[in-house]
This record gives sequence, C-alpha cells and structure tokens, in this order.
Amino acid sequence: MPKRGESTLFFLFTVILALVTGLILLNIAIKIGNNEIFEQKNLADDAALAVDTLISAPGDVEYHFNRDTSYYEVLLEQDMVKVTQSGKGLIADTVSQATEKVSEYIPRSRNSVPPVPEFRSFEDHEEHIWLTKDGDIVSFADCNFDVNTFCFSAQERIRNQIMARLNSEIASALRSCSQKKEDLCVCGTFSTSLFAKDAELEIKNTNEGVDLKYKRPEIEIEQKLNGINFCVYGINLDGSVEKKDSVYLEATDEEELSDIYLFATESRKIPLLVKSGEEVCIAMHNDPAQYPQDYFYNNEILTGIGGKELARKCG
Amino acid sequence: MRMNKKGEESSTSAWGTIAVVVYLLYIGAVAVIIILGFMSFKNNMVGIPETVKIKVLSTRFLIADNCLAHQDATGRVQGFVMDWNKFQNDDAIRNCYSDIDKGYSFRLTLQKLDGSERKVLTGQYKNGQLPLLKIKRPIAIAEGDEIVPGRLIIDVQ
Repeated sequence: MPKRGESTLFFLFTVILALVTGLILLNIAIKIGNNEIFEQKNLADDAALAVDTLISAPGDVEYHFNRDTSYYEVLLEQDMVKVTQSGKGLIADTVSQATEKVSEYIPRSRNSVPPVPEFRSFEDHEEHIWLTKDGDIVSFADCNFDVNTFCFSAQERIRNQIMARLNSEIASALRSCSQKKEDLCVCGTFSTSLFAKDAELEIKNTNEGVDLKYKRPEIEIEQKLNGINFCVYGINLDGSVEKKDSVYLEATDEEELSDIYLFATESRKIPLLVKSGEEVCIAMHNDPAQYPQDYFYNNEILTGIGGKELARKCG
Repeated sequence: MRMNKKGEESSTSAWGTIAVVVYLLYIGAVAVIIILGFMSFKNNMVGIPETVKIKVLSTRFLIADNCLAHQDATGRVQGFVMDWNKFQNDDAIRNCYSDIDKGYSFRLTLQKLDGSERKVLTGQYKNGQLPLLKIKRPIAIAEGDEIVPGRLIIDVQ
C-alpha cells in the first residue's frame, strides 16, 4: 500500500506535468496560428536554396539575404540549414526544439564545408545577413563583418535614400539651372515625388547659397548648395513678378505639391524653375484662385492668363 | 432482488472512467492527425518547388568552378562549356556534388553531334530506375583547345 502522502505527491507531480505539457502545446498552437512555423520552414528552404546557388556560382560571392531573420536562430551546418526560434527556460526551449525547421542543401563534398557551423544567436543576430562564398567555404556573415548600404537601421536607410533623392531630384535641378547663361527663361523642372504626406521642404536663400531643409515625421535632412542664389518667382495675374527669398513647400491632402507651384503641360502638371538674373527661382502663380491650367507650358513657352507669354525655355 | 456483490458498483465507475480516457485519447489522436495533415499541406504551400531546386542544383554542373565546366589556362570558368575530359569518369562530378543518402541524384550524358557520348553519375544515382525529371539542352563541349557544339541530357532521380 502507498504511504499516506505519497498519493498526494503523485497527484501534484501529475498536475505539474500536465501544466507544462499544456503550456508547450499551447505555445506550439500559437506558433501555428501565427504562421511562425511556416515562416521558419520557408526561411530554411530559402536559405538552403541560396546556399545551393552560391555553391553553383563560380568565384567568390557575397549574397545579401534580403529577409529580416533577426527573430530566428539561423544555423548553417554541413549539409543543412536549421531555423529555430530561441528562448530561455524549459518551455521555450522545448517549443523551440519541437518547432525547429530544417532544410537540406547539397555540399560539394562532405569535407569542404566548414565542420564548425557559423552560429548566430537570437540575441546578437543582425537584421541583415549575407551568405558569403570564399573558395569552397559558404558561411553566414552580418554587419559586424561588413559595412555597406544595407548595414543601417531602417530609419537610417530611409534617411540615406531621401538624402540621395533630394540631391538627385531637387539639388541637381537647381545646380543645372544655375549653369544657364540667359536671363528670364524656364531652366528646368524637378520631381515632386518627395512630397508625400506630412513631408515639407524649405528652400531658403542665404549669403552662401541655398539651404534645403526637408522634414517628414522623425526625419530631418539639411543640405547646403553653395554658390547658388535662390528666389521665388511669383507671377501676378497681370504678368508682373514679385520675388521672395524663401519658400515652404508641402504636400496637399492629395499628396502632391500645392497647385500654386504647378504649371500645366499637355499631359500633366509640373513645377518650373526660372532663371532670373543670377538667381535660380521656383515659379509660382500668386493668386490661389487661379488653376495651373491657366498657366500653360507648351512648345517651350510659358504663357499666363489670356495666353500672355511669360518666359521661354533657356537655350 | 439480487444484491450487488461487494465492489461491483465501483467496478462499473472504473470502466466508465477508462472509457472517457480512451475517448479523449481517440479525440486527441484525431486532432493531432488533422493538425499534422494541415501542417504538411501548408509546409508544401510555402516550400520551394522541386523543379526550382533541381534547376539550381543542375546549374552547379554547368557553371561552378572545379566541377564539369571547362576552365581555361588561367583557371577562369567558361560557363555552359562542358569539359569532355571531365566526363571520362565520375570523379569530377562527385567532387562537386555529394549526395550521400538524401537529395537529388543526377546522371549527365554529354553528346557530341557525331554521336559519341559520355555519362557521369552522382553517388546515389541508380541506373535501373526511371528518372524523376529529364532536362535536355544544347551546350558547347571543350576538348583540348577545340570547342564543338553538343547536347547535355540531365536525368534527375
């Protein structure tokens, strides 16, 4: 006969075992429900295919594995890629092992692939990883090894992209315009694609040149263009012109530049840059009641109300 | 009226308990089978198609260095130019593709236009079995300094 108390101990043991098992099953069910298990499988397949591709490539190769793998442990072994979601403790560890996904690749020979796997743990795993092939050795690398355009945070990357676009789309248009020799002519246009929701651009003339200040939520970029004089070329209804030193451009609710800075062409509305004396100016029509269609830029001639010629294209 | 024997009533409730446990186990087993079936189905859905894997693997024979592609005197690989001499035996293909007991196995048949041909196999390819897939493509063949047109047939198991 079991001693008194022994059955209570057995009961408690059973309850604890049932709870642990229940929690493990619940965690696995949550992972299935969240599609995490399938993402792991897809990630493992994807990585194994990438390894196979690299082995096939002649010469040394670096391949940017364009997925955020930082939620997982990615383990490259001699002939397989293992993807697990790590955790600490009995339950997390058991769930991790139970949901581990493996995908195989075929090494050139069983001795040529590094026997010691390149291991990236959950804690130190970078968002961006590379697969590198150096001779016959294929391994994972991350931004600790290499710094290039991918090795920035998402925020920094967006900032760099915007800076590049500000330079290539707006600053370069202003520079190109400043090279023109003629006076009072339409010297170019620029892309309005940077004027997305909540984005604003201040262009200001200073003693040294032009200051560009671009803002959008959580991002602020400043750029100086030395040696260029800037103005705002405000065209009145009668064709007369008023100039200003600075302008504050922002997107409308329709996520495009305000109509007063746009001029109609045959197919679309565009902003115009005008060379006036030594200044590069952004053209605007001063009366907000007027539509861009009233100011037409066609056959290299800018016309205003009543078809009055305002400026021609620079040569 | 017959009296219950001692223990008869408790025996009935014990059988009831066992029946409930067996029923729960049965339900659990069915649930596990359904979940595993669903997972297997979805794993296949998110997986990479077999043909894509096979094409990537077979590319190894066509362009990888130290495999079957011809390398010039400087060591540069000439992709899609097969080295006739590397088709003399299976050494070259087995040095760049090690299918021990898993993955796809390949047999490559290199044919010249004059009808001569050479075959090489990876380790696990079984000559008696039908291939899963057959890929045929025109290819250049290098023999010494000469490059001639030919055909490559890739059988996959």
